[in-house]
Amino acid sequence: MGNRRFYIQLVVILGLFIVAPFVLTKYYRQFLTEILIWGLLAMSLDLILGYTGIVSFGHAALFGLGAYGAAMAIVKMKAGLWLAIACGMTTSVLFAISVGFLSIYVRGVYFTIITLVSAEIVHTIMLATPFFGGENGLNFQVPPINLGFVTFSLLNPTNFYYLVLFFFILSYLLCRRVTQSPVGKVFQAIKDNEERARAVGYDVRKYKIAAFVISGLFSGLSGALYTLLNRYANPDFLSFIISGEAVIWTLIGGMGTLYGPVLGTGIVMIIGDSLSSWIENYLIIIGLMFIVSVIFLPKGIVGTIKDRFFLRGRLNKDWKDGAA
Amino acid sequence: MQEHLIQQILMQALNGLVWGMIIALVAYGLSLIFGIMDVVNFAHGEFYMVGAYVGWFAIKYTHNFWLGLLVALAFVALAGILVEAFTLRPIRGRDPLYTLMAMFGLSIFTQQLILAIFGPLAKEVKEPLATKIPFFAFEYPLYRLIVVGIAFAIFIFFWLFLQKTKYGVWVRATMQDNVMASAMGIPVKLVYTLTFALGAGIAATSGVLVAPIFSVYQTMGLSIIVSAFIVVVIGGLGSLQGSVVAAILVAELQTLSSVWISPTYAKVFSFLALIFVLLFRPQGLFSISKRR
Amino acid sequence: MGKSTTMKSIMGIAPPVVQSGKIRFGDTEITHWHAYKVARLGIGYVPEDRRIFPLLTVQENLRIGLDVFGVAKEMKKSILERIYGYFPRLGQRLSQLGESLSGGEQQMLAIARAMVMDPRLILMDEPTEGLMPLLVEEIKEIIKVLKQNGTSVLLVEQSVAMALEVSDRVYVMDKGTIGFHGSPKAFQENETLMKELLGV
Repeated sequence: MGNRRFYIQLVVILGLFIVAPFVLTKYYRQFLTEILIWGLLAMSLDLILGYTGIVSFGHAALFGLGAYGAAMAIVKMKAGLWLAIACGMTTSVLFAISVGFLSIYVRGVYFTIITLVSAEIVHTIMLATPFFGGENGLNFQVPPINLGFVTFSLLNPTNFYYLVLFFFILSYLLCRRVTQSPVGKVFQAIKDNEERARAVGYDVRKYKIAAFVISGLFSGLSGALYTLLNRYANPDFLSFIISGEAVIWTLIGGMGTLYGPVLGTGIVMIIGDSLSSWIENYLIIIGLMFIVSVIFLPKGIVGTIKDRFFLRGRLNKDWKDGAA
Repeated sequence: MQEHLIQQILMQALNGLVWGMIIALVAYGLSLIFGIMDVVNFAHGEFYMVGAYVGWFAIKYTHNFWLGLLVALAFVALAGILVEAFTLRPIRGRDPLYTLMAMFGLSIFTQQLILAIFGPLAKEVKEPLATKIPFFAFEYPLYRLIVVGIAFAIFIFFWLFLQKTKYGVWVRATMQDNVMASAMGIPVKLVYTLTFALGAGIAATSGVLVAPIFSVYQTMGLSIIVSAFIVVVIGGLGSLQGSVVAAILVAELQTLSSVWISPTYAKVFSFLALIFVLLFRPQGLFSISKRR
Repeated sequence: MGKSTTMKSIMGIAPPVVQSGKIRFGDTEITHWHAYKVARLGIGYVPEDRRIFPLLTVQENLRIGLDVFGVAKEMKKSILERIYGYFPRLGQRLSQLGESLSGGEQQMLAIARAMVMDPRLILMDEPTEGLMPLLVEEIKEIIKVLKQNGTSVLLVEQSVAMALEVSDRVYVMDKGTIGFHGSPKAFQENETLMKELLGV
């Protein structure tokens, strides 16, 4: 029953997104495309942060490597669209596996430290290595979408928008599947009480690595799409600021909901966009908003709203049942 | 040719000592704060950075390096008190996840704030004394040796403070068992605040000391925290002596390897050292057991 | 069930679950007070697992209690001398680290450092647990000394025999509520209780 409601909601929202390019101006079309791409990144972060309780301050590495993977495939191997995206995702996943394995050896907060440190190291390497384009990064022409019987050029932003939308919806459905599967339940058990999950018999380390790798898969996709959108890959894609923004969007939107972080991305990006016309360093405000949110609204927008609705319902039930 | 290489090695070894002390000061504060409050301060690099900027500003207007340093120290320590009171205290009981995120958010906020106030161009600070000391076949800036001296003095001061004074015992007791420390009448909340401020102050001092050597720029906090984190993972979070020793080791690794490879990759090297240590001794080289 | 929690609640170190009711010490209400305030009010605590500071020396463990109150130097010396008198073994191991002491010595240290603060009330949670009979005797003596000096002792004990021997009032706690309370003599005359709790 809940499922049917979900699918109805999904179709409605999907409908809105499909219609959007026809009602929005060019600027906002592009903006919406970016929201979807960054939203995908936030969603992938939610898988580990909101569901498994792993804090990552280095998601820029997964994102940026996805971007570079795709860019390198196009520049060095003249890859087509699908191959480029696949390469991007593979690069990101490989990195996630490596970092994930390190997590076997450390506990809790040490892992967070490693995510930050390894992301910065990757950033440093890419910045300094000419093979990857060094400071200037890589530029390329975007290959078209080749579906065999028909070819779409991606220079047309509307085509690109639909490509991104396609991947976004697909990713969302996949992520949702994961979170609702038995594996996803274990993730949440780990977030709730890692010791208990271990005591019950789950190999917590394996699950954490799996979560991190799945997250890397979608972060890589996000990065690959982003580089295709911009037609370049640049060490800035690996910067600390991106890691920070991803965390900010995820928390402000509402961790542990998958769609919450996407909403958070949209809201924060829109606020940032309006602020940027007044203040150059609007991130100051965003950063402050974030800190305030951590202290006063830790469940984010979606979480807090959900709480209000459920709490009211639960309270009523208690009064009726005559609970003390 | 050989002689030239030996000279380079010696010079980098000295640089490593200096750089090691700079990192050690930051790592020490990080370890101290973790040992006392169980908080991994992801904004610690920003205390270093803000210290450098405030120091630059104060030096510019007072024309006195050491006065500028004191001003920066006081300013950041005070800022530390405010951060602890308004950001850490409210979320103390919660899932530690939130503390990590709050500090991370503070880091971004601070970086952007400094960028907005001081602009993107790096700031230069002149060495307070330009004397060079002859060392084998080259000359080494006296200032840098003084930096080492000051750092050592700070560590010795803290060692004495912690081991020999009444308040030092309070701090150590709180580190070992904060619940019982409170049950013994120690005002644990005050200890937290003051220790946090001290840690911040030490980081700021390091920032001002390093300013004449490497100049002042907004991402210097991020840069130092990466090294400090590597140090603290290798040395073991919460181990104060461990931080100092590991810092010198990591710094020497970075500076010595820069004799043969580019300095950027030298940093990567220290990261590899981290991975190496993690694989073979995950609890760090010196970690102490801590009561939760 | 609930004995330790009661003590911890008094001391202010239990998780804040006190939903109703108050805790009063003399005329002061201390229900939600932080531990350090409770300690400074004059309540000492000897926890169940001793919890002496492992990396502090015996002397440092003891001095904390003194330093907290800003006691004058000469007073400090005489107080410490008195404590060493009650705990000669501790006096011999002043510069040893807490973690290097044996279980029994740690228990003595835990009691000693609470006594150093000259509290009006000492909370003792299972002080004789896991100790040799000889040490149990020593602890009984300490409790008697404390009583003589006018310090109240709230003792949580599994060993009914020992509790009856040293106490003036007995409370039996069952499933979180006080069942019997009265003098030890009344306890011993209560056949049902004796059977239930001592199998006599």
